[in-house]
Amino acid sequence: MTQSALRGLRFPSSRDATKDIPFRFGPEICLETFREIQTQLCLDYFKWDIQIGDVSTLFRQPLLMQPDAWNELKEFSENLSAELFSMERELLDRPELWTRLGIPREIRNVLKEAGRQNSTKSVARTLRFDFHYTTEGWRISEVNSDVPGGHAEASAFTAMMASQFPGMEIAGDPADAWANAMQKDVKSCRNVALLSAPGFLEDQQVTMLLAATLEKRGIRTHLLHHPEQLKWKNGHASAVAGNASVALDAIVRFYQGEWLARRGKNNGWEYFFSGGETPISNYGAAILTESKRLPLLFNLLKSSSELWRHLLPDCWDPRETDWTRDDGSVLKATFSNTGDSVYFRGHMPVKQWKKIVLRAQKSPEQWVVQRRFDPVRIESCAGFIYPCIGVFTINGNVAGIYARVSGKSTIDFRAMDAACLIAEK
Amino acid sequence: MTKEEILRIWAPASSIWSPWVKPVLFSFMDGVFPPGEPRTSAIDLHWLPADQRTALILNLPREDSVLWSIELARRGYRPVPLYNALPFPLDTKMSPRSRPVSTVIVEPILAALREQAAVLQDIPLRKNAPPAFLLDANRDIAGADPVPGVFENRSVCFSTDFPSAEFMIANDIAHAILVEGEPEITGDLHDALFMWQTGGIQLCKKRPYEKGAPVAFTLKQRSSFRKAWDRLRVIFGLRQARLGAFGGLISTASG
Repeated sequence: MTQSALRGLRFPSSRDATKDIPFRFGPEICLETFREIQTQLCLDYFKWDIQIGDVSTLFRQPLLMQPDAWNELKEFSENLSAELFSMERELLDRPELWTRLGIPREIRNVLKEAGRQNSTKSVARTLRFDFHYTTEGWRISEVNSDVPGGHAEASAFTAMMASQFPGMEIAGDPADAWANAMQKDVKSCRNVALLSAPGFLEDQQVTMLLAATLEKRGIRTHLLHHPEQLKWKNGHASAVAGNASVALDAIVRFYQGEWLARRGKNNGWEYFFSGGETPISNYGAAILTESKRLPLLFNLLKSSSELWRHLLPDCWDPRETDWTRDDGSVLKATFSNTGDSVYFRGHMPVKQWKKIVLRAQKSPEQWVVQRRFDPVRIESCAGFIYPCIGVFTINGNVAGIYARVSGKSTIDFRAMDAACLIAEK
Repeated sequence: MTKEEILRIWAPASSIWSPWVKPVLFSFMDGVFPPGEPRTSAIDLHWLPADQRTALILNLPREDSVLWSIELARRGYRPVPLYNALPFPLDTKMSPRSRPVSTVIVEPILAALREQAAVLQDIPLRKNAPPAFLLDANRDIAGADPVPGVFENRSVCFSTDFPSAEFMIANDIAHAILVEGEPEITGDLHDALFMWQTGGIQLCKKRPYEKGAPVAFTLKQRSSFRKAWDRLRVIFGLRQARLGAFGGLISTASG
C-alpha cells in the first residue's frame, strides 16, 4: 500500500477516547420476538451453538454504531486488507521468514518447493479484522486470515434484529457477498466442496450456511469432513457423489491450515497450498498472515504495514521481552483461532500460568507477546459489556460486521454474538 | 407438524432446560427420511428415585434415548435432546436411497423425535421438572469407513453442552444418574460429569438392561497425560472406528 493511499485516514490518537464512544446498545427486544429469531436462526440458518454452558450466545440488545464510525472502520478494514495482501504476496517469496512466523515445517516445505508461481489459486478471499474501541481509539487485536467465521450471526441474525429497529441499517451481508464473489471468481461454478473438521459443530454450521447460500444459486455442494475425501489428479480436485466422481469447480476450506499438515502424507493436503488448479476459498497460503507472529516481521518486509502498526498493539517474540512478570501484556498462541489461547498473568491461577510460561519458553516460535490495550466498556441491560467489532472483507471489500460482546475484556468462545446496526445519519 | 412446531414441543418456552436443547437435528425435520420402526422392548424404570431431584443422562444407541425419555416424561422428567450429529447432507429433499452412506446412522433418532413429539406434547410437565439429557451412544463410532463418498457425521459432546452444577443445584438437582451400556464412562462425558461432581452433584451409573439400583461412583481428575490420550483416542482417532479414523491432530474450533 502506498503512502498516498493512506493519506487522509484518521489514525487513532493517544487522546482519551472514552468521551466520544461511537456506539451504544439499543433497547432489548421483547423475549417472545427474540425467541422467534433464535428459532429461525437455528432452524433455517444453522446457528446451532446458541447456548454455551449457562450462557445464551445471542445478545438481546443490538449494538448501534454511528455512521461516521462505521465509515472509519470500513476505510481501516479495506486498507488493512490491502496491506495484508501485499505482505502475503511478499511472504510467499521470502521462505527465510516462515520459520519466524511459526509455520509448521511440513507446510514450509510444500510452499518452498512450489514457489509463489505455483501457489494454489485463491478465490473469494475472506478476512475478518477484530476491532476494539479503546481508551486510545480504535485498535485491532488480530485478523482472522485463515478460516474466519461468524457468517450467520453477521448476516441472518443481524438482518432479523434490524427488522425490529426501523431506521437502522445493516453493515452488509457477508454470506451473500461471499457467494457473489464465488460466482464471480470461479468460472462455471457448478460443483463446490466444503471442508470442515468432523465433530466440530461450530465449523460445520458455517459450511452448512455457506453451502445453503450456494445451493440457492443453483450450485451443487458437497460437505466433506476429511481432506482425504478429495481426490486430486494433476492438481484438479474431485469428490464422490453417489457412485460417480464429480469434478469440483472450487473448494471451501473451513479447516485450519495447520491441521492439514498433521494429517500425514499422500492424501493431497499439499494442494491446498500449492499446485492446486481447483481454486480454494481461503487458499492455504493464508496461513502466512494468519500467524499471530506476523507483526514481528513488519520491519523485515518491504511491503507497507503502516496502518497495521498504528492499529495493532506492539508485539514481541517471547524471547525478546520479560513478559512473564508484566501485567501489561498478553501471551497468544501463534495459531489461536477463537481467542482460547490468549493468556494474561493475573487472570488465571498461578499454577496454570506457570505451565503456560513453561510451554512458551520451550517453544517460543509458537507464541507471541502483545501489549494489552484498554478496551472501553459500555452499559447494557446485562451490566457493563466490552464489544468487539469483527469486520469482514471479501476480496478486499468490506462485507459486514460480526459483533461479539463479553463481560470480560477478552473475547473468547464464551462471548455472546450481537447484531451491530448502523444508525441513520 | 413443521420443524418449528416439533422444536417447540421438545424445547418449550416454559421449561428451564430448553436453552440446552441442541437444535441440529430439528433443522433437518423437513427432510425426507424413513419412519421409525416399531419397537417393543420393555423399559424398566423401577430403579428411578422418587425424589425428583435427580438429573438423568441417557447415553443409549440410536433412538433408544428418545424412546426412554417418553417413558421418563410420564414419570415427570423433561427430555432434553443433546444430539450434535448432522443426519445427512444439505439436500433434505433427496430420497434416503439416493443419499450417501453415513458413518453414523442418525435417521432413526430424527424419526423418533418427530413421531414422539405428538406423544410428548400431551404429557404435562412441571416448568422445573428434572432433566433427562438425551445422547446417542454411537455418536463417535463409525459404522462405515469415511472414504470418499461416505458422509462423515460422527460427533462428540462437550462439557459446555450441559448446564453447570451451580445451575442444577439452584434448580433443586442434587444427583445425576448416567444410563449407559458400556462399563466405563464414555470419554467425552468425563469432563461434564467431573464438572458436576466438583460442583456438588452426586453421580451414579445404571446399566439399562440389568437389574439393580444405580451404583454411585466418583470420578478422578484426569491427568494431563490421560486428557491428551483420551483426546487422541476419541478425537484424533487411534482406533479405526472412532472419530478421526484417518488420524491427524485436531484441536479447537476455527474462528
